[in-house]
Amino acid sequence: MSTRRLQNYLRTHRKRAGLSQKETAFLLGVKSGTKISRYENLARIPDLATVFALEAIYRVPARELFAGMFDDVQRAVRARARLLAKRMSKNSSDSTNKLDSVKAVASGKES
Amino acid sequence: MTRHPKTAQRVLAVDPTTRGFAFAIFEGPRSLVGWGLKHVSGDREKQGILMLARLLAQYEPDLLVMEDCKARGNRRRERARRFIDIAADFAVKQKIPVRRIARKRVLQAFGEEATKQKIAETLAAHFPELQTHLPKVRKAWMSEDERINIFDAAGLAIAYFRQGRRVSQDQFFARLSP
Repeated sequence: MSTRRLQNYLRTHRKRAGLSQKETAFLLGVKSGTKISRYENLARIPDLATVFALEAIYRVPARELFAGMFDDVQRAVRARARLLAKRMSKNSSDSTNKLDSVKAVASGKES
Repeated sequence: MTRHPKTAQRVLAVDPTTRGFAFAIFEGPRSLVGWGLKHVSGDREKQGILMLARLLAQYEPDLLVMEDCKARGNRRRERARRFIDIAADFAVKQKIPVRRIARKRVLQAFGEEATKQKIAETLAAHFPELQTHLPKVRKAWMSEDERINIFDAAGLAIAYFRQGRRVSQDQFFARLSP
């Protein structure tokens, strides 16, 4: 079984929407489809405004458009949260509420 | 909401055409993530393998599915058979397991009465993104539309997912629907 999702699913969703790279470029307000190709082939990471634009165009949340990237970031955040929770539990001055919220991040529980 | 499964097996199915090959990539039987035709010119085998290498690098599949040309009654021509063998060897070298599915198994997965056109129509009904590639019904004097190979590739992948499942054809396809 695959444990890793693709870094991004931009090409999948563009093709599902029936759009060409040139048309997507127009919707994003950029000059040529080359930029779209670079985003799809991971040669370039889009900025935040472009990510929101892509979300609006494909009507798919950014965390699903960039699923693999999201998983990597989430894994790293959880690892850091576990470390922080460990440090906080040693330090008695930190409130339980704060510790609980960090532990929730570490365990990946939705609030 | 569109969700890409976290633990689904990613399967790349490839079907040779006269000008290159058609491909379909699934993440589990319900999620089609890639499909299309790759055209090559010049040394078709070498160029075809280069194209395949790019696909393998891009999608990192867990499995490559291709037609079993050694199965009884197989009617693929020599060039297609050679491409399938070379592609399978290449995938194995890249440490990607290869599964060969006989045409008979594909027909069984879609019902004994299935034809290429019916399989294509069934797939287009379950995966609307393929509808734009669905060719018109072929007349006796028309040559086959190359886009039908996309459906042949997708059919191979679906036949692979259907293998070993004790569900009826209707139940299996009902589960594919979103």
